[in-house]
Amino acid sequence: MSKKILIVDDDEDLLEIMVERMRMRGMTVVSAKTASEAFILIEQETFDVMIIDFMLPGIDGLQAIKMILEKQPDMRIILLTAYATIEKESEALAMGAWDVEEKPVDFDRLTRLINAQTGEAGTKLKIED
Amino acid sequence: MTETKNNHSKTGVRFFGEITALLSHELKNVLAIINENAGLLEDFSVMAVGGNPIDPERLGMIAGKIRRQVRRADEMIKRLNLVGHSVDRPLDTVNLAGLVEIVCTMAARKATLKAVSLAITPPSDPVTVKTDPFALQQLIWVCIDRAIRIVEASNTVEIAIKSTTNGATIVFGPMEAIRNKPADTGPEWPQKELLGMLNADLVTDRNQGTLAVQLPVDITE
Repeated sequence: MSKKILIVDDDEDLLEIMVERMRMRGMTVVSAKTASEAFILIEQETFDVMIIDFMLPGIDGLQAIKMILEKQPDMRIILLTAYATIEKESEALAMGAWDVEEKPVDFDRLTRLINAQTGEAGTKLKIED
Repeated sequence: MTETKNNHSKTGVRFFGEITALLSHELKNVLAIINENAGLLEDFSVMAVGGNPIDPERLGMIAGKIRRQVRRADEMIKRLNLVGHSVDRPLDTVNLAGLVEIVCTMAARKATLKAVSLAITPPSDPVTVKTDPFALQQLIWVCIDRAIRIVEASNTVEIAIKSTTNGATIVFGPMEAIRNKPADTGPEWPQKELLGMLNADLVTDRNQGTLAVQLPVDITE
């Protein structure tokens, strides 16, 4: 079954290309530009993994993780950060984030993490219809 | 005297630290986009090996996206370079509109995260002052930072540059927060030292809801 991913980043260029690359790997991807948009989507749909940027307008990634895990403690959340320090990483993990990935992201590692969530083997690239 | 010098240094280091952190953070975002575009090219090449032809138009689009990020990064590095070089000459003739624009572009991401816009109203004729460019940049940064913090989301911080009989003024606002909470309008940083270095005044007008930096035409006079 196709994995369902929610990706949240306010940088449209990054969002667009990450969505495309994940879809090429057979994932079903929904995107949001803010945490508030993500909250609405989470209320409406179920996701296997959520990938969220730390720096977002309004509610930031850390605050969003806290708010989401209060409602959905089983949600797997990967925090993306452009910070080079480990403080944010520790803070996010302590808050319940599943993993923290520093930008620029190692996409293969990210894919492996997502596959690990659903217990699937690696996904091959495929052309979208 | 030594304490004042130490305060100047601390304020300068803090300003430079914040700018460097902000821009390096943005640069990592740019690198992330370039990295993903490189990844997409790899994906296409893997698919091509598998017999799926590569669309040349698509390759052109990716190249365009990479080029756009390179330009974005170049702008950031230019700004950082300008700040770095502003310490070269402790006294210089400064075009205020240009300096305000540089500081505003550096603060743009900060403003976006608060869902606030920055809008500069340039003077009809260039307004210049002879001043310490590094200290003035810091003072403008302090004011913009404060304005971003106190205005409500979705609002615009207007910044106007005007010449006065004795020099020039940079006006921030009007901001409702200044009208409503006058006690909460002072920048948090030790701006007193900066004002002293620049022979400047920071004036809060509660009726207008503005914060104004008043500068002499020449700090040596």
